[in-house]
Amino acid sequence: MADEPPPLDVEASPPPDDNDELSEDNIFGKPSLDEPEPAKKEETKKEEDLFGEEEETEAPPASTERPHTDSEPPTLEPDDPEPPPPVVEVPPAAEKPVTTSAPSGGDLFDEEGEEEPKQKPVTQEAEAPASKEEEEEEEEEDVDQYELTITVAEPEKVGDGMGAYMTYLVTTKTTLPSFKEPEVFVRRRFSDFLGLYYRLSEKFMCMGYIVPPAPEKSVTGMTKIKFSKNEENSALFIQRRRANLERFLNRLAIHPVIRKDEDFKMFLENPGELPKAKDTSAMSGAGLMRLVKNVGDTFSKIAGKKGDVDSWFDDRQSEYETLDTHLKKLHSCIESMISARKELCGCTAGLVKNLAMLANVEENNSVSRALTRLSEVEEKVESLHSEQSNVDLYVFGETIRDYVALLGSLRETFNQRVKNYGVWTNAQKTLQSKRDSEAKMQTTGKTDKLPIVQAEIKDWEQKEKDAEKAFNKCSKVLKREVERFETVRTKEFKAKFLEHLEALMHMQEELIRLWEGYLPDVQAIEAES
Amino acid sequence: MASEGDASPETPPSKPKSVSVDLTKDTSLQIDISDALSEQEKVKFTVHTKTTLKAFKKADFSVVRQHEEFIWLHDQYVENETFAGYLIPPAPPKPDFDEPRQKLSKLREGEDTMTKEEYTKMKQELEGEYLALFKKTVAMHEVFLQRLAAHPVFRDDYNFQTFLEFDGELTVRSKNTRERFGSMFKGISKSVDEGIILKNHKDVDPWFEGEKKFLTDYHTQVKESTKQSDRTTKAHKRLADSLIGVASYISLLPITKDDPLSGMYKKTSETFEKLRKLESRVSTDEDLKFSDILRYYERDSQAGLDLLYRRMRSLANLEGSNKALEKARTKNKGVIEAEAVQKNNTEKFEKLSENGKQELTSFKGRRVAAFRKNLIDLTELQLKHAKNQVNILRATIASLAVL
Repeated sequence: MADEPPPLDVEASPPPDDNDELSEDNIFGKPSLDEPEPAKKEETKKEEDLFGEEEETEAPPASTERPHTDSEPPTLEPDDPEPPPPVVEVPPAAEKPVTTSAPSGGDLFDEEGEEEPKQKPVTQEAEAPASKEEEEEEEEEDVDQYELTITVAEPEKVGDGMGAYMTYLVTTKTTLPSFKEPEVFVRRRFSDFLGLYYRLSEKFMCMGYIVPPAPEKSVTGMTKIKFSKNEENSALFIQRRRANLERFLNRLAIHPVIRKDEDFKMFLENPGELPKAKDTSAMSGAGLMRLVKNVGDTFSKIAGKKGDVDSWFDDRQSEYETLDTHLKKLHSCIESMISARKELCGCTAGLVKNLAMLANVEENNSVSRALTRLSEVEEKVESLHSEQSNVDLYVFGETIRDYVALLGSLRETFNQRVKNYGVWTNAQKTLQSKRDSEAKMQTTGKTDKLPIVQAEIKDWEQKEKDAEKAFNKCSKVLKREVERFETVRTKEFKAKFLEHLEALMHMQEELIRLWEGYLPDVQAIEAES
Repeated sequence: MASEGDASPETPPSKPKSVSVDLTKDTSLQIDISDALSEQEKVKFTVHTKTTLKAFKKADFSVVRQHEEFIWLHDQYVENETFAGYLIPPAPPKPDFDEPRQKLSKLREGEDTMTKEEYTKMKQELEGEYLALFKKTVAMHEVFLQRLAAHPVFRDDYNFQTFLEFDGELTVRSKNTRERFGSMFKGISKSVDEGIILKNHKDVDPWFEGEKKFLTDYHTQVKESTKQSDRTTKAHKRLADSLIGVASYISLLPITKDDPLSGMYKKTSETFEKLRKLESRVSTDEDLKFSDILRYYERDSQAGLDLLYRRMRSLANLEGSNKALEKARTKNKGVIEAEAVQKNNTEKFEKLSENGKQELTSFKGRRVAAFRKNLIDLTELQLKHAKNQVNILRATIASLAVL
């Protein structure tokens, strides 16, 4: 995508371009922008690959099914409906014309993925009759055209002892017109990330959005950094945290609504310190606990007579409960695998030394040499396993762990919807009782307070209406969010699973190389007279 | 797989045949353990002999022997002065199945924390480990007897023939406590004695002095390497076993029937299952081809040191009788007797040294040949398993790409 010309002369350039990228992770991506950096980045930093998908979040259902775009790459862009250059004004101009811009995204990707309209998540959108809500939908649908990629780097410890904290360099590369610069740098401390999550979840969760969670605060991890002398452990912790923060921000960045949020933008862009969130002490201790408390570990349910008013939610809930259990188990199995591999590394490292010493006392020269070489081979075997254990962790383990956390957010949003339902039914009840007393007043003739009650009724009618609307909207948004969630999850799982398998294969290929190189050394063993 | 365990370092490959005493082609006395039964704490080995030697009453017969009887047989060789100059094959280690048993009971405790599939597979793995260990135990007992049978001197020993032929319990079967303590004391006093004698006596013969130094260092290092190699293969096995859970839970990931990734989960889960079997094989083969040869030479180098120790004892005896002769000569009393003793000791020592030199030289040749064979096997098996894994992974990755 790097050298793609502005999409107007599309006919010419895409094919070779496309082929180049087939092997890369963004096979699906035909990002419609002419920003050179991301391409480079995707080559170098694997971790980011999956976030490189912002440009095409809408598309995955089609594209996941057809990663083999080789067949018709050239047709890709001819009628690209939304040429990127007009990076002028986002919300009103770019969106209105598209009316549930889904089709636009759809078209684009249909071509790439040949025709595969069946499973398009977009269909549901079509049903939506409401005209007011269209605006928001549109807002969500047009994500693809702007890039927003974030890296978190250069962790730095500030201060000493109890007051010490970590800061990270947050680099944002974007074509979003609302940003002043295409590339901005800010330094943020960990609590800023938590504060961001807190603000966003306050704002968006009740609307039915699933807000990707920030990494949890780790008291033990941080204490180690503050006081421990074990540099290596601290470095591992920080490295893991850094990657986690980066994934967090990029998950926000691919969210069609959140990516446009003012607080998010301020977090990424504002050069100064962030205003402290209302109840900060920055989410440490008490603040965080409060947040955690109303999270709960289970789905609450709308206890209608036949379960949820919309059985769709019941179905999803039980599916996600099962998935949650399985992901947690899988994660603990992956952790066992990682620790087993690390243990193997430790043992192999010991063996390397023992073999070298054995080779030293061995009197037969050819055997001695074979043992020395075996020691070298084992040393490389150890480093291969060590590399693999990193892949096990960062590619496989962390993805699964992220999704356990994401399911937590999903659950919170589900519960929020139930709360909204409660608000609505309460309003209904209050309204009913007001109406009852109105009727009573009218039949009994005690009309002196009638105007007050009638005013209240009017008031509650509005409240009831608002609550209903809020609930319906929340339900609707949430349904779409779940679809989006699944789309992203499908894609991410596929990418990560593949990456992990490829790493495993790479390790075995290296092993073959090592042992093949070793064979002549053993064959050279011979007795001495 | 355990049958490969007896790919004994005894059978030297044809190439470096400079110093081989390979008698395996001699079919006049063939021994194998045709059956083994584990009864509670005891393992009963059926020792089967086929022979054309006239010393035996029959040509084909079997007896049932227990581990203690093998130990008894070994002791007979050690205690017999005739064999002092020979490298006596090390006694097989005591059968010990505690580890797999403990693992099994631990697994049962954790049964409800895993899926049924996971539990079944873990159990199969443990049963496999137990079986492999059992076979290995049997193989080590078998190799001990085969080495005796292949040896031109040991094979003719009366006790050995009794062991093979006598259809009944040898009285050693239940050593009483005192005897056991006795042999333990013997063990301690011997090792102290040995340490002092071996260390303090510089050998007058540079060949034996060199041999002593080599075997001492070699034994120490090979012992450490064996331990570490065992740790490594066990860690490798744990890594392989950890894939069971991963494979099992991946297969449970589809949340609906039409989960777009159910094909991928299925394929990946199957792949992990295949990989873990191969990783498990890697660990088994590393154990059989590498740890076992180290273990074998840990014990054989000890047998070599024992030989050197016996030689030093014999030398000490000779020196003692030299002194006694000198004394007798100065006192001019009992000179003839002293001369006889001195002559006898000299002969013994010379015979022992000559035997010892031959034995240790042949030991060297066997060792080099065995390392060559096993390291080649190890390398080829590593290659085979890695290639299989690459093939499996390549196929999986290709099929995921089109899913």
